[in-house]
Amino acid sequence: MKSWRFTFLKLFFVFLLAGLTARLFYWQIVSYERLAVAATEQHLTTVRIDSPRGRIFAADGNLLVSNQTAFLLYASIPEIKKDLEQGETYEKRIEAIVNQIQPVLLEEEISKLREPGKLSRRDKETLSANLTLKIVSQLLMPEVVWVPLANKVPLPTKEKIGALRVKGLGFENQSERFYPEGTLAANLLGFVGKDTEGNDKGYLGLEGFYQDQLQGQSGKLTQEVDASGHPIIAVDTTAAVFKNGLDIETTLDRTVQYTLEKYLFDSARKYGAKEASGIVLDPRTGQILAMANFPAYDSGKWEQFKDVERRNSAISTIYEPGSTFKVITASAALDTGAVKTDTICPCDGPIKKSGYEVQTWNNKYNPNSNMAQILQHSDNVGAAFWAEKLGKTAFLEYLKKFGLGAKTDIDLQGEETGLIKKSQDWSEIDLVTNAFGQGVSVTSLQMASAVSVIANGGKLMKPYVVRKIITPEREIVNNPKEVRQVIKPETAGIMKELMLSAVEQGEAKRIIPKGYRVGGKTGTAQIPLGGKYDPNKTVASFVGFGPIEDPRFVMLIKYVEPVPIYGAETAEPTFFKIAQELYTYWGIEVR
Amino acid sequence: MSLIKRQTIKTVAISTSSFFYFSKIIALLSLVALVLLVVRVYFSNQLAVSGSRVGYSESKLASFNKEKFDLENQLSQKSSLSYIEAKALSAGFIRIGKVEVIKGSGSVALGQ
Repeated sequence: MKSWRFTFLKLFFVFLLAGLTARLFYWQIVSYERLAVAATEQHLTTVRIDSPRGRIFAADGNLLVSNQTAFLLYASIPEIKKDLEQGETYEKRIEAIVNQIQPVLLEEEISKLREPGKLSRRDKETLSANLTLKIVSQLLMPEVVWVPLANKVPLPTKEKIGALRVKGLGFENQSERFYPEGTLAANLLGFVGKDTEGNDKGYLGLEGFYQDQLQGQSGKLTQEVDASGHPIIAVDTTAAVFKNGLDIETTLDRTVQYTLEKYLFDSARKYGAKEASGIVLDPRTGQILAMANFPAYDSGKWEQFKDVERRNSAISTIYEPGSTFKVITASAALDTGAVKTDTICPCDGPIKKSGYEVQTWNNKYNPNSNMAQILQHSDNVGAAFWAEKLGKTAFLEYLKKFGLGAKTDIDLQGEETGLIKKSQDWSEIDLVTNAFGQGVSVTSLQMASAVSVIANGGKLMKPYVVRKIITPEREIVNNPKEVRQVIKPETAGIMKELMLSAVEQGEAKRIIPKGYRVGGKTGTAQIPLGGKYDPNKTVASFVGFGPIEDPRFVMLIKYVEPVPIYGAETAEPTFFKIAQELYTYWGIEVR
Repeated sequence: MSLIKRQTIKTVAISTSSFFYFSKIIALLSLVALVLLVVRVYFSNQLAVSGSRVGYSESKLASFNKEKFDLENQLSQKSSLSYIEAKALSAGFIRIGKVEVIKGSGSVALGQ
């Protein structure tokens, strides 16, 4: 009896041990991976740390671009399936979900359109059908458990969808760009779109140029949690590298930008111009104070605009500058000593070169003109006379010194080079026509920058927009950079006076407000079309600076295809409207 | 015989004394273990409470950060030039038509 009980006990323990071993084998070997993952999920929590994109500030510290919270609407397929009622199919449930959320999302999509009010009934129906198709195809994707349904959903829309209490739908925080000043300086700021992997990426302007600095790096923080999900602080946390995007402070003056846009846009509409651009820069430092383009676009609705509307035409579009270029020819001729202020040009009629006839803009001639008179009359024959005195080699050398035919290297994405013919490609007529800005192409910025040489005692400064990049440790300051001394200070002084007389005695002298001593030059260039110039389509511009004694700003105004066609009747009046506001704003004395 | 007895008694005495000695050590160690266990339970409890506090603080911090961000955005929107201009116009301000420059250092009558 005793022996039987002992044997039973022994067998019991043997089986118990075998059972435990088998169970441990199952846990440790067979189901190791699954259980290890489950255990990790249970005691570790991973928090995504979003790194917001850096903000962009105006020179006065006000925000130009910031971020705001938006939401990603997603669907969890297992949760939707888990909630199915008896006899209900997944397809039937999808139909119900679409019927609930589609109208809310459609309303949101329409509000994002460029002109929601102008949407026809048919367009609305198409939009609605496309949206339904998009949601349904996402929800019917095979072998997925999580599908995104809508990106960058704003808070009010999120709240509307949340109130519907649809099982299986959820939201994740996202960040989107926010523009407190609306469309102000949109072409200069650029926009944030997506890269090929669906991540935010800056395009054009500052967003494009400073993409690496502005973009943050998101990370994950893993920490051990207790049964309630609270972090256990005694245990180390592990964080993947993450960093916030860096903030940048620009040289843009909000008031100057606002004033420039207001007058430029109003006047562009008044003159029926196809395009317009304006630049205000500080010639002493090269800081861009304002830069605007017409028509403007909305960075927050960038998808609704064409590529051509989104680009910053002040730096991306080249044009023939016309008579504004005469100040460059005059500066070069004076600086080399090829001509003096009292050098007399015969200027008694058209000149013939290589079978072409060069005339004045109005076919009226002013014999025996000095430099001031040639600029006042904007005399093409006179400018050709200076260029011939100067010679091709010296002329080309000065164009390069003024920074023409090369990028200014401004810190904006999308800058064009401009077009100056190479020395070996020049014919006899090129020297003559280039002298008055024909056959040569520049960007508005190049032209403004070149004229700032005259306003700044002959020194060319590198134009720039960002003056400070703010890192967590320090501020990286972008100081003004002198590129080179282009012309002698004395030459610059003479040119300032010549440009003052060109304004005060020029074609538009009647519109000049009294006491505003501003140097400048008008330009009216015909637009080349199919190898010929269209006489009725022009680029009308005015470039000038003030006050003449100590120039504080250089401003360029340009209209494409305005009516009337002349710079003196379009760009110059706009220039003076803005200049008056700037004088008041900066407290510049009017004499 | 008596010698054997004496030796046995002596052995038993030694065994008994070492038994008491070890049981004292075991008792002492058990006491230490018990105290440590209580301390551990106490601190674990404290840590769990702190974890809860940390979690609460973290969520509060995130909420304050978001609120700060939203307020900054609101502030910048309300101080935007287009907003200020619209407010000024609705308050009856008008844009000046012509700038009058007053020259000279003497007193000037403002036409009032």
